[in-house]
Amino acid sequence: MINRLGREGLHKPYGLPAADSEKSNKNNKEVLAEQTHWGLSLEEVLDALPLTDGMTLSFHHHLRNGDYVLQTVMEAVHKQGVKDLTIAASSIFPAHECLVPMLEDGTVTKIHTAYMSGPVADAVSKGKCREICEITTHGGRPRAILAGELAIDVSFIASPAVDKQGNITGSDGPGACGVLGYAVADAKMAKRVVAVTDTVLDRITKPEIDHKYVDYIVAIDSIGDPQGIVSGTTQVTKDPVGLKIAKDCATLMLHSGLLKNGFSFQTGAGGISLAVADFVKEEMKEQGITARFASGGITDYLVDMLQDGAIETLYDVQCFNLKAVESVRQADNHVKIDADRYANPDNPDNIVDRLDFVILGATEIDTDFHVNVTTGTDGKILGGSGGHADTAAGAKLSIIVSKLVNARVSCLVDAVTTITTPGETVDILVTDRGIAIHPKHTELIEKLQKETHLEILPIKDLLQLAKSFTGEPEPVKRGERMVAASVYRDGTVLDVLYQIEE
Amino acid sequence: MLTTGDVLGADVLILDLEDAVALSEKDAARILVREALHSVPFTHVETAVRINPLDSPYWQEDLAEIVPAQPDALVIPKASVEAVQQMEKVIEQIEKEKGAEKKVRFLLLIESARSLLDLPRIAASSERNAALLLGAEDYSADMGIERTPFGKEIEYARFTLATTARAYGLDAIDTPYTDMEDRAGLEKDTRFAKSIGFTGRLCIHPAHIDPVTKVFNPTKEAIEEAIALLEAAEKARQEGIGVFSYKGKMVDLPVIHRAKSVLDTAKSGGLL
Repeated sequence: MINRLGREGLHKPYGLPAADSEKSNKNNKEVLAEQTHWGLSLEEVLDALPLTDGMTLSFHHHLRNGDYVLQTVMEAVHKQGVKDLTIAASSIFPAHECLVPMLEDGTVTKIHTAYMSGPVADAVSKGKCREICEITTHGGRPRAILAGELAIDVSFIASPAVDKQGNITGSDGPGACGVLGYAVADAKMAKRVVAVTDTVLDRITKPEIDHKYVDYIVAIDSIGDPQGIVSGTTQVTKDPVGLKIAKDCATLMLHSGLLKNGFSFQTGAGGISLAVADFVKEEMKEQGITARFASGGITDYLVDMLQDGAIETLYDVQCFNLKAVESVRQADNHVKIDADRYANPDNPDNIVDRLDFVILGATEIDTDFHVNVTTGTDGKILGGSGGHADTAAGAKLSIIVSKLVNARVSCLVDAVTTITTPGETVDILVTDRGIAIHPKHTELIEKLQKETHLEILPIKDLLQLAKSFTGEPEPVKRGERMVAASVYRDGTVLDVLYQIEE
Repeated sequence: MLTTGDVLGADVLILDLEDAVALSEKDAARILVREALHSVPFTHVETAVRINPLDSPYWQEDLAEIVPAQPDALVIPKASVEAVQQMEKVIEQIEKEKGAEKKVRFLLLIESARSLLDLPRIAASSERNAALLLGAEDYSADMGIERTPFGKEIEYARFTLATTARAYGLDAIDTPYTDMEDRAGLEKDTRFAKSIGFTGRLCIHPAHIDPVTKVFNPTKEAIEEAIALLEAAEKARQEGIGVFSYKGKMVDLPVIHRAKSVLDTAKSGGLL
């Protein structure tokens, strides 16, 4: 079925941005454990469950590319010889390469995630997964789990530390990752919960996952490499073009009327986004402005602003580096939140709906302001929404920052290869060669033209400018077979992804 | 950088064929710059090419390739009357053959004791001359003196160049600030340059563009003050008053000219 954006919407086509839809919040009942079992090996737990064909197994990605748990569990699962499993992992990283042979031999036949990169993403793009995978958002995933749409049979929770009752925290142990925000809905709703840990403490004071949900505690030697937890790009860009984009973005924010005492914002961890935060921070200092909160994935940069008093509260769903891990352990105003509170469109208290600004990146953006961060221009899976579509829908101003032309490829195109974030939720594109603002913001455009010297032009003119550098790109050939769906936060289908030519 | 240099906020983008290019790469650089001038739509900036000096074996080929590509200006290193005149002769010929629509202008890089003493003659050597640029690294090498962070050793050169440029109606462009990290030093040194009559500054790193622009652009207060003063002057003119008092100070023609010049700079910097 074709959806409202003119793309394939399968059986559940996209209709309206989730922010505009009615909040239902009719969650299914939580599944409690009868008893927490200790002392069994992973193999014994798999037998005890028991593991059967067609199950859905879930994992979280707080250990990012340092995660050992998915691999350890799935290798044991593989030995059991079960088939047709669905892997519901909040994100898939290169460290999860072990899944590739399991896709090939039918052990795993479907993946449900909010982001995937590396060999598994390549394998899916090449058509190695039997069923159509679902790439949703960080808010869409807990919504689907809590609403019972994504039913999890067993959730394996990488647990940096558990206490003797079976409570789980992300803040202790050698594999401390700070927050376990993406695992909470899984723990509440999965039929069985297996905490996989390398650290048992006497007592945890503020557990993120209560023992009442935990069926099994399994001890392994190490759950992950703390160095791999750190996201790659958490440095402010030094690239002069990136800095120019960031500066223009900060100027725009300053004149938007929203940058005032008590404002809120979220930025990605990319170099340009961090540079925006840097310029905004200077401006805040000059004008004596403080932010009520910042949210999302937390970097050391935001921790510094919290400690300087520039931000009152951090709502942290995921720590991007070890300084954030340390801060969330200690500071009362650095608050752990789960993905449901963060971005579930059905949760009336979700944080993203309270955002003034979000600064985001884009692999591609088109003249309808649709954004693609899921695939490359060749259709190959490179990522996924993560919180992109959630924050864009929630924030008053969602701003995309990108070089117009990078390595001879324009980020601005006639039509994006894959829709990750619908254009009606995206407000502004800031590039090095000009700024395009969604035409619905007539007042903002007038205000900026009056008060600043920013170069504001219609998005179609900016596209022509890009084409003066790149020429007209040749259309990319795509395969016939659908390999994945780009699923919006409300569960509707924005777009589908096709197999790429090898 | 070649394709993005125009968005960084500089007034002029100088593409270098001289010291930034290894001897073995001169041909390649020349072709690259020529093609960039033909194909990159430099939209926010004037373009200039620093060619090789008269005493090198490269300048004629530089001119043959670059002049037809019509940059706005050429930076002539080690500028002298002889260099300007010899090069202009060749350029005239090329522009005539190619039917060039505009004459390429000259930005003259002053980088020796001799050229400093010849400065008035050099400044008047061609109608194409648009600016005098100070190259203090080569100048101090020529003088056999050390460069210091305080720049006391180049003060004579700076005063002379700024004054001569003014006398001949040319822009005075100061030497680049070479310490990449010392932002406060850059601002202080640039404020000094402005205070003695420089109208701009060479930047060797994109990070220097904003601080330098900020110094040379008039402040918001200065612009508002200039507008108010000119309004008062216009009123005085209508009332037939020559010299009048504004905010307790006497205003005569030089003060009015200075206010006009503030607004001109503001306009050219996109502030008005």
